[in-house]
Amino acid sequence: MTSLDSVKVIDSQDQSLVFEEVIVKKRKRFLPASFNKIKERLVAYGLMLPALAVFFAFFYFPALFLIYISFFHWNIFSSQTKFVGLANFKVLFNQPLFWHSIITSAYYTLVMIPATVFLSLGIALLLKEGFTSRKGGFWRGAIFLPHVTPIVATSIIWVWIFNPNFGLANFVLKFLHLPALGWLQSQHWALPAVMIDSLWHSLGLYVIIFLAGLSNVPAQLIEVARLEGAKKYRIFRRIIWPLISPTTFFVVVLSTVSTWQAFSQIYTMTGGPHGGAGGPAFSTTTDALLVYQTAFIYEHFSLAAAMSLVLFLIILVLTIIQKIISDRRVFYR
Amino acid sequence: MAQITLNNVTKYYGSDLVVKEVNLKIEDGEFVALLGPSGCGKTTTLRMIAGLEKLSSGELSYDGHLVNDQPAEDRNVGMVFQTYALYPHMNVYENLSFGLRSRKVPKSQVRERVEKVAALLELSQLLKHKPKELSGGQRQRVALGRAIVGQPKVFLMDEPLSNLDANLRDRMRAELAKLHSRLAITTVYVTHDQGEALTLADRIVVMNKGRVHQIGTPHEIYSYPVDTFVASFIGSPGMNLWTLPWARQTNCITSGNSLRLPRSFESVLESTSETATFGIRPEHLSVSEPNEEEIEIFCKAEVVEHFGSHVMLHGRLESEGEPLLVARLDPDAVINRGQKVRLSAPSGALHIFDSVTSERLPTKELVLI
Ligand SMILES: Nc1ncnc2c1ncn2[C@@H]1O[C@H](COP(=O)(O)OP(=O)(O)OP(=O)(O)O)[C@@H](O)[C@H]1O
Ligand SMILES: [Mg+2]
Repeated sequence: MTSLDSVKVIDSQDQSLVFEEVIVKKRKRFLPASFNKIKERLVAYGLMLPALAVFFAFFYFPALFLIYISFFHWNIFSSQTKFVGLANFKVLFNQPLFWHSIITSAYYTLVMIPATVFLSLGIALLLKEGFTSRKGGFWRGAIFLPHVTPIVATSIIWVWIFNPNFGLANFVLKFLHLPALGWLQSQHWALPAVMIDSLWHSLGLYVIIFLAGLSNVPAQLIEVARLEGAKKYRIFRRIIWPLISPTTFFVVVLSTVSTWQAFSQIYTMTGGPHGGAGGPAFSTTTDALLVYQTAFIYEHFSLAAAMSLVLFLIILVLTIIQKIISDRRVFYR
Repeated sequence: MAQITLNNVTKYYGSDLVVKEVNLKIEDGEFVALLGPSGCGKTTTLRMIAGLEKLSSGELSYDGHLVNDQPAEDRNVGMVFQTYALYPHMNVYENLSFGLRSRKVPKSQVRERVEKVAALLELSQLLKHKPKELSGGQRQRVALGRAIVGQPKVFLMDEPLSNLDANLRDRMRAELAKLHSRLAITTVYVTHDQGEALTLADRIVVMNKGRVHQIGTPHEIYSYPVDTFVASFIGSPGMNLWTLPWARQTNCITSGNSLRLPRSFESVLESTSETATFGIRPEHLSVSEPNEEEIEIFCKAEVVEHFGSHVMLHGRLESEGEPLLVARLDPDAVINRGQKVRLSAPSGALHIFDSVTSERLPTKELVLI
């Protein structure tokens, strides 16, 4: 019975082999090889076409169009388009508010990136050390949760938390015997308040990324280092940190891009829907926010496009610098 | 250097008993091998000695001082892992010096000691290389060097040769033996390769399923296995073991038509019930005519393999259950498949085990008297 079955199976395999051979032979006879290759490519591009079309329509085209209009006087509501050369950029560079927004963005980024790296790496290390996989799963979930909530919704909650009179933030400060702060109503504390919200929202993602990076460090390396008398800090500094450098680099690039582009939380927390986002006294007017206001409040679309281009160039330069540093400092196995 | 004592050392993972009440005293400078099949708890035992794993119960001491709660970093042991675990981002020099720097050895001394060890292990030309630029054998030597450069009290190795190809393994084994005789550091060596254990170790600890079966010199383990597990695990192939009923005859003892022993074994067999487990190593069997004092075995040949230097005979006894027999015979033995073969063995080669407890009955000691 079983032997018969197996015979059948072998038989059908043989047949399919024969079948394939016939097809190959037929193809070879009627079509030149190069034609087949071309056909294969056409099919491949044809299959890619829908995705490419979407990508082009919603990504490359707007990006290219943005560069185009930054050299024109262009308005969405009028058909008059006039080439103005670098005039938009000239206006921009003579705008104190533009420079102010870049400084604000830089300040925001310069605080956010180290804070992101150290907090998320710290939390990842704690999660890795302190919890068995089951409990760890709960905490990983808990940490990741904020990241999947809509930032506009949670930012509104943070507006409540930072309310100077009845918010949780000042309550905590009072509990710690620290002076209360004006938070979003203060020129100095509005941006830090936004930073806290952004960190809370984004850390989960970076913690997960760092956990993945840490799990790639072989446990035995750490054990050997321990046996060699290395204490915790030395193990971290000389073994873990260099070995997770690709992850750290990835997190730095990712968070640089997302901080320079930060918009929703700033807009929501500084009173966006009611107008006047970016205050008080422009202290939270970052580059991205200014682009939005220039385009959609003041309707200077070309100027906003020019501004975006500058923003793009800044991110590009930062990323190139990071790449150069990484080539020298990041250890890839 | 240190003497290590394990006293009822036990390890549970959750509710799984992985190492059970191990008692072992390792002398200063001794080379001890932990030998056993995969999953028997060798690595776990070694990791407890290193301090990488906590004991569930029992006591572990170095030089008479209890170290159960001493963290690994304070024990001063050198360890070589199966995968070597070299620091991939550091070159050989940095790999060798990391531990010394951790222990705050002055820089000038670090250089001196690293260079000395590098010379000893023929790594001097490779100090600038990263691990991924090294061959398997070179990596292995770096791992060894890293373990000895700190002048550890104890040297622990977990299957250090198993990632090497056969040739290199033989060479490194010889290197290890040389190194040990030169440094005389107390060494615990984990392996599942009995060849390594038998050639390298002063004493062997044979383990199975978390339990120590026997501790002894290679000779003791080979010649006086305490139970059927050790008997069948040591030797390649392991000892033939046949559990058979036995009967007294006028001037001998027999088991059916397949086994005949001298009458002198009666006193040993008396303590058993009707059956006993008889053991003879394949290499102790021969096709010569047995005399009165020798043991006679009849079997049916099934497979005959010619190896040039010897012939391996695989056959079956004609007793109940047809137990298997393996014999390593002279190369000029002429045996055909299906043929009935008469084999003999000196009576000193016979081991008898209790068929219920599997434990050794004192045969050879008796014969030797
Ligand atoms: N961290 C752990 N958690 C749970 N069980 C474990 C753990 N480490 C080992 N074990 C179990 O303990 C038993 C002994 O493992 P151990 O690594 O000591 O075996 P070994 O003798 O070294 O085997 P091998 O020769 O395959 O390396 C195995 O059954 C293994 O599954
Ligand atoms: Mg092991």
